[in-house]
Amino acid sequence: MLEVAAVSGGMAGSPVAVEAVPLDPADWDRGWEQGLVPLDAALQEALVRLGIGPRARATLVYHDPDVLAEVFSPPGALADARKAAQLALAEAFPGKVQGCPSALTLLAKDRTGENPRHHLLGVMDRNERLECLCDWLRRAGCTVKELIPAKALLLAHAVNTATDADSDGPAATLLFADHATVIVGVSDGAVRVTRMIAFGHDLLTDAVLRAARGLAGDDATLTRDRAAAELFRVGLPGRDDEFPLADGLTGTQILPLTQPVLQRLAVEIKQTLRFALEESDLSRVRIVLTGTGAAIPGLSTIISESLDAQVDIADAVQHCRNEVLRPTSELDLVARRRRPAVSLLPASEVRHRDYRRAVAGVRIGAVLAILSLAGMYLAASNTEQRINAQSASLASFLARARDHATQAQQAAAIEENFRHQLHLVDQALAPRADWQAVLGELSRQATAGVKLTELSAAASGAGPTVIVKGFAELPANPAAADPLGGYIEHLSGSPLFAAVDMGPTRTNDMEGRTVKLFTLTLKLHALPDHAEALTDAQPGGPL
Amino acid sequence: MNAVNARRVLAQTIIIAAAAVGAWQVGLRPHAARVARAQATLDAERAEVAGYESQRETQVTNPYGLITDIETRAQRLDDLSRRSGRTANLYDMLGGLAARAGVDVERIDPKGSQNPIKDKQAKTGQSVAGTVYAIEINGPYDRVASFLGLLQHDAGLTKVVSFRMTPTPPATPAIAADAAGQASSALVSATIETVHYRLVADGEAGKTASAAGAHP
Repeated sequence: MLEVAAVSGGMAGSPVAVEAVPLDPADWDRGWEQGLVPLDAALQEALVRLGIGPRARATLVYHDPDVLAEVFSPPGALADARKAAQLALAEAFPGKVQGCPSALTLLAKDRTGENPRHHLLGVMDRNERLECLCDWLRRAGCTVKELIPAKALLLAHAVNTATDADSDGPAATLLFADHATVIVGVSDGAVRVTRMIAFGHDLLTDAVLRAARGLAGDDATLTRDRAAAELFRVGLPGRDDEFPLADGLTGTQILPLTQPVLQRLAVEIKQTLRFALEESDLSRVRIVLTGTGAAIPGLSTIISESLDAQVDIADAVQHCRNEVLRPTSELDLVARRRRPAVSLLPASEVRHRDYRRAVAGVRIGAVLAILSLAGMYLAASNTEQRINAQSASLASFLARARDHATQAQQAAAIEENFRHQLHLVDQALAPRADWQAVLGELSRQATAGVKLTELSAAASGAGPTVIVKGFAELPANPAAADPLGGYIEHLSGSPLFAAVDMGPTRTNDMEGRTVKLFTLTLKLHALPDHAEALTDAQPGGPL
Repeated sequence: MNAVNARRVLAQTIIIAAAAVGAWQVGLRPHAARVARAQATLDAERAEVAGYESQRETQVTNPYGLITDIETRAQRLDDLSRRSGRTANLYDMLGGLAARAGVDVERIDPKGSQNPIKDKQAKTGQSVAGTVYAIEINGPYDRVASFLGLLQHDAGLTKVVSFRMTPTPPATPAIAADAAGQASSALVSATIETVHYRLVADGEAGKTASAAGAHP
């Protein structure tokens, strides 16, 4: 059977439609040999009916008798358990391990016991089988997302159902599927055994179909689909009950063919549980029936009677989550959120994904590079704008400050130059004396009887001096004061003169009078530099 | 990933990396360099502003006013220099001063030029050139004194180097004597040696001597 489910919103979404295309199991080996090319038409037909376009992402659940799917329960920590499970997986695989894709995932951990075990689901398949499946999907226009062995899904569901059961006593889960049966034994919260048997309720369908064909001959309407449909509708008949697949078909014809299947099922369950559980637990073991076979009416009763144990149908079967899919069918299990991560991908797909990842990485890198460059450019532009704005705000102040500084320098230079000019002028004019004042003072201080006959003055390096020549009339009374002495005394008291030195004197007769000829050397106080004072004069005033 | 795809990815990576490096080199790096230069300029401007702020108290508050003031004073000094340094004007000026003082100028006799006075520490190259004159005047004692005062105050950069005063006529016994302390009005003859300075630039000083000439 090829079943295709259209899922909206990815695999996490809900299946919206299912198309089933019947396949003859006898053609399977030929199909594998021809690279599944004989199944191309069936797949494309189903896709067209479901309206699934090209490049749809496909998750494929497949049955392959050669795929290895097994639950390993090595002791020890998880890391050690993984290593041990990996080795066990490689050892259990029937063929050359090198190049075969594999996967290992943790299903459960024992809740009790001193050394609780980790239960790891290991899956391994041949690369060429996986390449074949990928090519089949690609030819149909699909993009490969996952390739999941159906055995892995069934094992995981059975273990999860067993470990989820809230029971401290001995329990077992029986997953009865199309082509496989899984038995999981649990005791004291620990998984004791997980076993997959390569037969399923397809054998019951075959038995019913053979019984019908034995009665009705090669009726073209007697198909596996009809047989399965009737089996799931009315269940296994009693000995005298009619079975609506063919006229006159009753349990008398069917039960001899189905009984071996049911007996084998019972034997397998008993042996498995006997191996896993204590003898005392076997009588009170509670069995949970799940899998698509659990939907066959009356099957749980038959198993309960044959095992003498309580058999309950699992909630997952009784409460259908999605009406589109058969409960606990492979498609139903793969559509659930809780499913094992055991996708196997062939080397070509791994390489293709690596290439796509690399291309995506390069593109992301290119985009990041462009964004980084653009970001840096924008950041630099913003910084430049900010700097320019700040610089512009400083510009006017700087211009004024620079102009001020230039003017200040210029002023300093001009002032220095001007000071040099003043200094030169002062150097040239020094020493100076106020000659008008000196002459006035000489005249004003002259006492009676003192006459000046010659004045000579000079302003040289030794300072301004005046040499005064004259005569003084001597008084007739010798006791009277000498007029020259009074003159000298007056001159000495004048602030204009620094020193008054009298030179040689000589007494002489002049026009009948006795006079004393004298020479005075007057040293003057030099006037201070006055070039600056000259330039301080108000404009327009006398210079 | 097979070898072809690996080479393809590698080629794409190299192309993108080269494009990114090229974009960086051509577009972003010069831009970043420009921004760095602008930042450096801004930092320098800020430092300059900080420098101006710190110098504000020590700097001249109003350089424009100072320059104007110095220029005005320099102009006055230049006027003084021209007043005393221009030979052509000198005789008129001395005559005018003599008239104001009330003395008679008998003779103005140029005696040549002094060596220019230079300020060795100054870098301006300026100097002061002086021309020596001997001036003979006649007049009352107090007027001669006034003339000397005018020479010192109203004749620009003029220095009275020396003078000699004798009575006029020579038979007069005294040139100045006043028991009451009043300015004497005795007539005197005075020979005054003056130097008339002017500010000159380098190479201009030699012209001073040649420009001077005798005046009866």
